[in-house]
Amino acid sequence: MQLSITLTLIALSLGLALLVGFRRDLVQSRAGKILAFVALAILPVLSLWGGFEEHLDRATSTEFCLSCHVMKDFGQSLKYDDPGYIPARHYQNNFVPRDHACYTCHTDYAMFGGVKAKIRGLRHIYVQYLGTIPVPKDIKLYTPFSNTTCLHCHLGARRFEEVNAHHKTPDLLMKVKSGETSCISSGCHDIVHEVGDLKGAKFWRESR
Amino acid sequence: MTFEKRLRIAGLFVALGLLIQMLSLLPIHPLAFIVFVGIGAPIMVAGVIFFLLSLVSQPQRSE
Repeated sequence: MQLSITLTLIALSLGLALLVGFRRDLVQSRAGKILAFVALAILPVLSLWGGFEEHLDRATSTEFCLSCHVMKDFGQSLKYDDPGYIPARHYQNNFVPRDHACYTCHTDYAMFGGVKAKIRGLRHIYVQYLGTIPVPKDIKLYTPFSNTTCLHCHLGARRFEEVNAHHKTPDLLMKVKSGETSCISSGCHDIVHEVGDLKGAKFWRESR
Repeated sequence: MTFEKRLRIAGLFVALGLLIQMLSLLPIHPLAFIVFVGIGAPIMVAGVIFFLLSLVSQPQRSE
């Protein structure tokens, strides 16, 4: 549901809820009672559903992820003017949608991947406001980065399948596809956010 | 408590919950989600439940 539709629905529900709540004469008739039921039961539930869906959709946006101060450095790392940094390269070349950059690479594509990401997000909120906030360079992934996330886009792509580096040994590609050899921790693509490098780094200026 | 009074209380709860939900949709921030789920939604749901209960219970007739 679009934000404008959701907001209109909520505003309409709000107005009707006040109307049926405070106009005594309105609910005397049968039509008035039906209106009260719509205003105080059906429309609020629809509004709740629309609002919840909107919030879930927003939680996948880059702006949402970077809205916590501790994530600012990670957002900045997407703009390194150096293609050696994997996230920067993906972000700047639109290999991932820029407005959903974090979610694209940090959500696994298996069943309930999105749900798990939301639960992790709730934990992040807890740490942000009630826990001890770590310094950005100490923030690590909960589990090693899974190849399936990379393969979600790269699998079958000519550049991925045919590049010489992926054929250094006859079984390398197979091992990468099976997850036996990690794309990142094997050392081949291990330059990621590296927020410790931010000081003095050169940044790409995003044109809109 | 008369049906009209119950209706007014339910309407107030629903309206307040919806207002909080609407305000929570303005900023894009994790706290906005918490406000939506933790404050707006429970208040609104309480209003809806109060309204539904007032429908099935036997209220006093108003004058």
